[in-house]
Amino acid sequence: MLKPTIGCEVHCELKTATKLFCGCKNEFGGEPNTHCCPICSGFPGTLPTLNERAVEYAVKAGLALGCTINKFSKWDRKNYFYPDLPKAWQTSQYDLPLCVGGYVEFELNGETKRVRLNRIHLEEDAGKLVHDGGVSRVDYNRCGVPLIEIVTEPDMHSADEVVAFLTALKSVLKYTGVSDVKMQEGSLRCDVNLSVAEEGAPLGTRTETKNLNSFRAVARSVLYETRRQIEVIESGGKVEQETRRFDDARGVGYAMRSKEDAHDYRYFPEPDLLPVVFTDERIEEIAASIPSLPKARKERYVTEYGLPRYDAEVLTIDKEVSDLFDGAVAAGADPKKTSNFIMSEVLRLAKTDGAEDADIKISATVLAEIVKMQAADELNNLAAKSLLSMVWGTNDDPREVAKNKGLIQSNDEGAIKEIFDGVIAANASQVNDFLNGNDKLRGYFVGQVMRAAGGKANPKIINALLDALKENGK
Amino acid sequence: MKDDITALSIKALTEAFDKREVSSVEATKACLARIKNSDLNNYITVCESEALSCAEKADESRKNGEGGPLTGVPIAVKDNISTEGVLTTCASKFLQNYVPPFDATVVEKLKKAGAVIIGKTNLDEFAMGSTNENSAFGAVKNVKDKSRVPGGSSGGSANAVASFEAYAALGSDTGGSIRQPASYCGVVGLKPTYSAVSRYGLVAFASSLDQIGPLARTTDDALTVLKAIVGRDSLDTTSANAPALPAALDGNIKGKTIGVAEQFLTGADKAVAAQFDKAIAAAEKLGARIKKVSISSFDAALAVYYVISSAEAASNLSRYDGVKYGMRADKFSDIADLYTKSRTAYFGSEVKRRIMIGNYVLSSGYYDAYYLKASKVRTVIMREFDAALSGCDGILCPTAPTVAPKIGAQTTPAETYLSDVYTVPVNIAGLPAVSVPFGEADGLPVGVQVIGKAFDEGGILNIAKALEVSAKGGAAC
Amino acid sequence: MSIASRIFSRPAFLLTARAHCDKIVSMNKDISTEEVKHIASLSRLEFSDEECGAMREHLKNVLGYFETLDGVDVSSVPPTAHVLSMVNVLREDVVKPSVDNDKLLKNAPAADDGAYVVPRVVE
Repeated sequence: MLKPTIGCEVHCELKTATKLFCGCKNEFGGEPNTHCCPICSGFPGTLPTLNERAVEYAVKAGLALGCTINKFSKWDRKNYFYPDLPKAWQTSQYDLPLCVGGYVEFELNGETKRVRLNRIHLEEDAGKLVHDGGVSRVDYNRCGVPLIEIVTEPDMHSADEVVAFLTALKSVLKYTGVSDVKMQEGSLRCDVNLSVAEEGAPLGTRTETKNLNSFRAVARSVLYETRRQIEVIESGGKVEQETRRFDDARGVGYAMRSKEDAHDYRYFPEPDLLPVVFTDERIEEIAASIPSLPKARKERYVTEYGLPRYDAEVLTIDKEVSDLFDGAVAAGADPKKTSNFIMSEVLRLAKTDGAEDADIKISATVLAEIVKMQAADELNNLAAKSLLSMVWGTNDDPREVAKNKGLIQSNDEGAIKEIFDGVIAANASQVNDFLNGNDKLRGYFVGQVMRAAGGKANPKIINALLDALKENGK
Repeated sequence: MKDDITALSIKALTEAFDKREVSSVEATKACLARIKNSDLNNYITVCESEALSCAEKADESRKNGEGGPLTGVPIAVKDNISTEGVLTTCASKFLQNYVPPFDATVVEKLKKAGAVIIGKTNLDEFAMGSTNENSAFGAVKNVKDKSRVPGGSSGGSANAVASFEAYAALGSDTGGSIRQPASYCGVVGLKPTYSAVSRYGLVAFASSLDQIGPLARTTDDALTVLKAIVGRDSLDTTSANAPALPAALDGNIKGKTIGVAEQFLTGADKAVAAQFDKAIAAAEKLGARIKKVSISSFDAALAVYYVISSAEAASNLSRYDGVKYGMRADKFSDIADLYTKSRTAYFGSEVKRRIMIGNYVLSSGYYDAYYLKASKVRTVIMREFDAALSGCDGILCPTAPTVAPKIGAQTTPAETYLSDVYTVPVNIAGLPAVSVPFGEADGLPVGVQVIGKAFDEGGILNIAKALEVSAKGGAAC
Repeated sequence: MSIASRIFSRPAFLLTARAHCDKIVSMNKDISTEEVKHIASLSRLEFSDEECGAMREHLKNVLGYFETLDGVDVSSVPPTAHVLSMVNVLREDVVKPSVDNDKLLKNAPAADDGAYVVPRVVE
């Protein structure tokens, strides 16, 4: 059976203040050609000056991914003509990239899987073309934004694996703080190299599908391209080595027409930039600045807080979520209750419309307060959930809001008993059934009491009263 | 004295400024008048009004007792050095309408020093050539003999200084483009150590070889201009702070060791060789010790130069595509056609030849045989120069194998390439070298070249000064 | 006797410029017209048949001349990574003002709405 073999080239924009080779702002968007200068617009006579933070970030990402840092690294020109590339070369790294080796580890279907990295190098992003009727408009705002290109070995064999790999990679990159990794803004983009072959046979001819900018597009394009190549081979054809695109809206891939001689990039050393040399001390210094990574946090959540592995995994994928959890626990909230509340309620609010990135709009202290109020029986589940939506994005004092909105539940046993007795008296036949073993009616009674109490009665007390009723009734 | 104020050296001119014998406005007007009446074609753009207003300001500051050694001095700038708001064509049809939005660092520095930028001088297109005939704005006629070329690529700069149309000029030197025209025109031309002068704003030909430097009438003047433009520039990562330059040149070479390399003596014309012999004799007479040195890789230097410079040029010139600046073809079917049509229509033939060589040696399958090999031989050449210079204060050799050839005389590119045979190795090694006039051959100027250790511009200028004084019949002081 | 010949044991001026030049022209490397056309396309240049022929001759000569490189033993020599021995010249990550859009686009052969305009690019 023909099986796909997949390798990825992931481009990740670094979150520096300025571009890689000039002092222009590294900022998403803006009016066309307003974050530009003669240097990033490729004017004659201009020269690049290397951004030290970009180099540091690239090395930081490399260290977080287990790469070896090249002590001597240099820059090369990758030459090709394209309107989004004003110098007609991309300054990149060819034979001596900053980082080599490394791996990304993730769990899939209960198994731990490793995808080996070949290298990580630093390069500049290209500009943007906006197509409009018969013309394309060229905008160099993005031109010169620092990028790392992470190249994997061909270690993946399914769309699920590719998505799990990307999820884990994105998670690490976000933890290190080197990038926003926002696929929708293009700060993380993926090229997929794919070939199919019989198991155990040598790899087939590969195609490269460029610039996939969502996990969904990656997954669909892998499925599409696998099916396409299998069909080509099964119908007696030969897969052409080519560069392709995937149209996510139509769900189809197609071969690119441009860059026909792009395979001859005529690389040579960039004479305008000097090599970068690293000492062990500098590498250790950068390594020390990396915050604890998802894997370490996950282990801590399991061993220290006794969370289930799955829960720990969910909490740690996104650094923001994990930071929220840690913050709430540090503010005194119970780890297990916090974990449950984040997984059931917070993530639901943070990922509206099926977004890939959680958009956390609540502070750790506010969250801790809600979890604590719930643990102290001041809030029932429903009230906690509505309180969360009320303070989402405002971060108002949850206790105040809960009071004003009447969400604090009553723990006054006497008052609840009074209401309870009224409900029992009014529902003689149901009480009879209940006492005769129809336990399903428990919910009915709780509901009745709740309604009569305006939703504020602690259901635990109601349940305890029902238990007592049953006990006594026998 | 006001009749020939344009013939003064910078030193003499600024002395006259200080004595109130002449003003910067007068000197500037005199140069402008010469340019107007000239048929030499030294300039592509003359900055008349800017120059005059700058000269007025310079006179003003001199009156106030301010101003340095270049305040109010009319200086020309090669037209491949960016000037904000002033055409910078590189003598290419492609950039015939290009006005840079910024000044090159050297221009900014000259302006700060109070110099009057009088115009932009003619050159071989993108500095590719050795005769100044590859200019979209026509050839330059050598002031010593109008049927001859001024050399290149900084032909307009050298000739402007020689013909009193500027007191000094900036040129750029990738393989001899300052020194060879200096030799042909009878002026002093200095190529500084690679990295001594910022390249920011110099339109790149071959980035690892290009260097800006002065052309002047005397070694003293060359030092004055050099002082104004050297130093590390935050906009050029490959620039460095050089050790301090000497306050003045004394021309004393007594006890100095001067190297002569056998390999640098092949290929020179008889009359040039004879002049060079006299230069060695003069140095000896002034008390220098002549020492035999060897650069055995010399024969391969020209090949190294053409591989590396063409490869870098092919890449550097790819940005001229008709999208951002310069010309765009009138008719094209799509984006690829726009590139091809624009480049084909607006690049000259020498530029196209270099681009073709460059892309050939970089293309898939040939990199190791050409580029990689050349950059290894480059290492050998650098090491041999280091070794040779470790035992002497400078290497003396002819600047060019011939005197200025007739316009149109060089019929094959190979002939032209050869005129750089003595200058090219210096760029490969990144060293400083100066060409100083040393008499005449067949009635035309001949220059000799002094090559020095990295950042020893002061040392080689001093040796050059000794020869300069000796050639003028005086004794070095 | 010239001083140069006095310093060196054999006559120093061995080759005239012309002879050296003949050496360049005499060395040839075989290049096909197809290769010339391929390099022209990589260079985004077009040549008429006549120009292509002349370019082919030029490339043959110059590339042939490049064989002089083989005369130097480089078996244990590293390529020049950079002409300078300096390393680690880096810039602080501090924003500088960008340049006005008008100023940048003033030289553009075609511009609209602050952007450079090219014929529609088909991917």
